[in-house]
Amino acid sequence: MTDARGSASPREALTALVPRLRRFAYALCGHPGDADDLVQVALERAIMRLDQWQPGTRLDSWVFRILHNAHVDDIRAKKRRGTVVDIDDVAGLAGGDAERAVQARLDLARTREAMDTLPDEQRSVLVLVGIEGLSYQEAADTLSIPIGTVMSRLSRARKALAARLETQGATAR
Amino acid sequence: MTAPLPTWTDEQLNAFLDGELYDDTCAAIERDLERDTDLAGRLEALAAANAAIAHAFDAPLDQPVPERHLAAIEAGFAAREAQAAAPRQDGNVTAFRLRPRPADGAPARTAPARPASERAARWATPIAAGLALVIGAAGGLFAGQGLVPAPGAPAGETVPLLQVAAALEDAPSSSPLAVSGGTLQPVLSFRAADGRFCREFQWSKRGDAFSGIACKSDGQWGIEVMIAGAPAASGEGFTQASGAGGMALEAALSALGAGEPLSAEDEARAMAGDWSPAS
Repeated sequence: MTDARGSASPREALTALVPRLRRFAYALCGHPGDADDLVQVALERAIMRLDQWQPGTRLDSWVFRILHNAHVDDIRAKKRRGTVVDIDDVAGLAGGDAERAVQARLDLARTREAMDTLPDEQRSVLVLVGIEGLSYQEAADTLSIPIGTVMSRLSRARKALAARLETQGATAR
Repeated sequence: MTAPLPTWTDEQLNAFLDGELYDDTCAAIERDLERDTDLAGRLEALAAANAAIAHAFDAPLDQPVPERHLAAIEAGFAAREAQAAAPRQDGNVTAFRLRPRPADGAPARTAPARPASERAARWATPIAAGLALVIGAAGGLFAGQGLVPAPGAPAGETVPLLQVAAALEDAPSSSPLAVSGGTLQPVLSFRAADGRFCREFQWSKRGDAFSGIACKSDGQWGIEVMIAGAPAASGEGFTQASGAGGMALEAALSALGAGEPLSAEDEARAMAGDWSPAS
């Protein structure tokens, strides 16, 4: 585990964490622009409440938790406001040469689409464990849910995702 | 004779994939995988789903940290340091704590133990809520019904930012005025820790309400934060911003290191001096 306990200052640690925060936010909400808004809010809140972070514990999980809470707030607000239409740039039209790259991008785009169909609470668990590599216990702490719930949500999420990707693969080829 | 195949649950298979099982369970699954093709198939599907997402969102890892985030970090720590260096007896950031904290908020570090004075009460001006969308600090434009994130966003066409800015230049707080078919209500003025003058304001048009903070630097008003909100359905006017919206406002105030609201006289003086930090 390489979190910045001890050596780096909180400011350096937070700055170094930004790329992962952006990935986390992107995976949570599926839209790069919204993701950066979330990251912004998370950074502001984290700095404002830095005194509440306990040195010696993982800074990344703590900020992930703040970001996730902000995301949940956003979801609530969006539900009241109505859906936001998302235009994800799916593979720009490249020359025949770059076919493999395009295929790879399409696969990623499909994966992101499939992720988007998961219920929010399943996606959160999947992102923390499957992308951020948190342990079940860390994910449970981050989301304030029991570890058993982490396991069952993760299980449902992966199963749904597997089924979805399989169907997509079948129709795409 | 081989033993009958045990049934492993998906949860167990996932835990196997994630390295969350005890060694003996792990070994048992590995043994079964060799003789149970069904089990191997299930594990493969789960692993494939896992592998598919593992790098699907990696794009930001290869990108430089956006300027706005670096700026937010700088501003956040600058505000903290300013706060630590000069804890003003009568308020500074503490005044903002008078806003009720949102549910996930932490107890205020320095809750003022004094009754809300008239000036402090001004800070508690109800902020449009009901729904909230945040645009982070460092400039946001909004368009149509919703808000458009600042970076790379097209200029807000439906909200007259220029007119709002022009009105903020000359309108005293607490007197609403008509701007481009909507109503602009400058709420109050304050000075940020870096010396700039800032104004909290509300803008509404046909039932859509927004609250924001603008600061003037280099002769131009820039939006620091905007919160979208609508009057509460109860018809009792605006309710307190909550959740992300309230936090965003509080975060912006804190990041700016906002001082006490200016008195009417001070505000008039600042206005006469074109809100120049030197005035």
